[in-house]
Amino acid sequence: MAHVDPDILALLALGEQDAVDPSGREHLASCPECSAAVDELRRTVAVGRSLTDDDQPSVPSPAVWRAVHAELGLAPELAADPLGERSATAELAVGPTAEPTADASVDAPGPAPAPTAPPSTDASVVVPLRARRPRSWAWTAAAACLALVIGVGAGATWMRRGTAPTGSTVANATLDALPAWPGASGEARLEKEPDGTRRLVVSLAAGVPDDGFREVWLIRDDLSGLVSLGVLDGTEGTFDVPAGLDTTRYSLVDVSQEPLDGNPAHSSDSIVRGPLV
Amino acid sequence: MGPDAADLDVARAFRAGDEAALAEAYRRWAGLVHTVARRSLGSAADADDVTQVVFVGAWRGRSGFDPDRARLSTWLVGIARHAIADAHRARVRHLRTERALATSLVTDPGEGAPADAALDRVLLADELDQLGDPGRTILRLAFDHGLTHSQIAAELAMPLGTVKSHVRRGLARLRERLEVDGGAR
Repeated sequence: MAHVDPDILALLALGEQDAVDPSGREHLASCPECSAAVDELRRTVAVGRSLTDDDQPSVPSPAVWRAVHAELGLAPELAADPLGERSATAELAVGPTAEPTADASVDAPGPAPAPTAPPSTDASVVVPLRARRPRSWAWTAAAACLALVIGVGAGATWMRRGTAPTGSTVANATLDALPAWPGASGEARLEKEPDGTRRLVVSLAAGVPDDGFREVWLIRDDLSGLVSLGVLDGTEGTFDVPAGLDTTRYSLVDVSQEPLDGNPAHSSDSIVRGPLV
Repeated sequence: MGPDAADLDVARAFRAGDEAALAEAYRRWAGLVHTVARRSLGSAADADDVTQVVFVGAWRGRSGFDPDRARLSTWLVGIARHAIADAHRARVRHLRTERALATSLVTDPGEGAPADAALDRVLLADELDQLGDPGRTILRLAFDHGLTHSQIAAELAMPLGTVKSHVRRGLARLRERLEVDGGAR
């Protein structure tokens, strides 16, 4: 009989006993190869489940590279710490706040928001990422990669915009550029119809590469999930928000650059991002 | 070109004496070496010392490295384990002389190499970081939150089949990393 599908073996190792049908189960019981494969993966899963905050990757101090560089007499052009850039990015990604950048709210009427004001306690406003971040370090690393500089965006834009919501607009987002997209910017507006249907209107100003396309996402405030709203063609688009989607949790509007590779997942190449408030 | 191919390029250039490859190896693996050392020695400062020793030693001893037989990361972790063992021994000597305690009172740690389980965790955390999304997020939902693949698919609004294949590919990569670099065997 044929071996059990490797996808199924992986699910079994994760403890999903229901993943295998009766004939597969029978095969497993008599096939040393398949059962050994599951056992090995189980060991990997056990290590994965035992990860703690202490296993979070740490970074040597800048003095270490200086010492290596000096001790080995390396070329002067290699004097900069190879980790310099990466550690700075990591700090931005998980740091408490960044300096607020010039914000769209500055020119808006109404009281100027204080840059250092604590997050609003209004229940309808999502709290900053940092406060909501689950304990697991895994998510901070996910934030570092998937979100890159959400700390910066959060610091700059977790403030209510000065404009009062009008008509059917229930939330706004100022979309800030990620570092790979200097100069990009955008806006998003969440609109609600009397019948409850919601639409997200997104506008984007950014240079357009020759290939690929733009996709609009709503990402959960703790980065634990994301929903694709669709393809942004041109500089503005309107997207239906799935009924039942809690936009106070899926509160980060994200526009990504996607390659035409058939992979439906987020490319991790975000152009702009900002929270709905 | 996958990460392995890129790593092999770095390894070959490193072996050939390209200083830029040393900087690249440092960028790529100094954090891993540092983490393994910190987990074993319990001190970031000592982990800094070990990291320095490892990269200086690796560069000076690069003629003993064969990029076609071992990964550079594996070789560096091997050097790190020796350096960590040395650091443990140095601490014992330090205790003996500094405090002038009766030798019988000093507990010789005996081991010295980082505990295999701790090394495995650090390696797996590192490989998980290399996975990239969505594989990494999917496995974390399965590991940390105990979600099933269908719950993950719902959570991430992804097709079941996509989640399944990410689970299989991701787990296989983590397992391979533990096999190649891991301590427990």
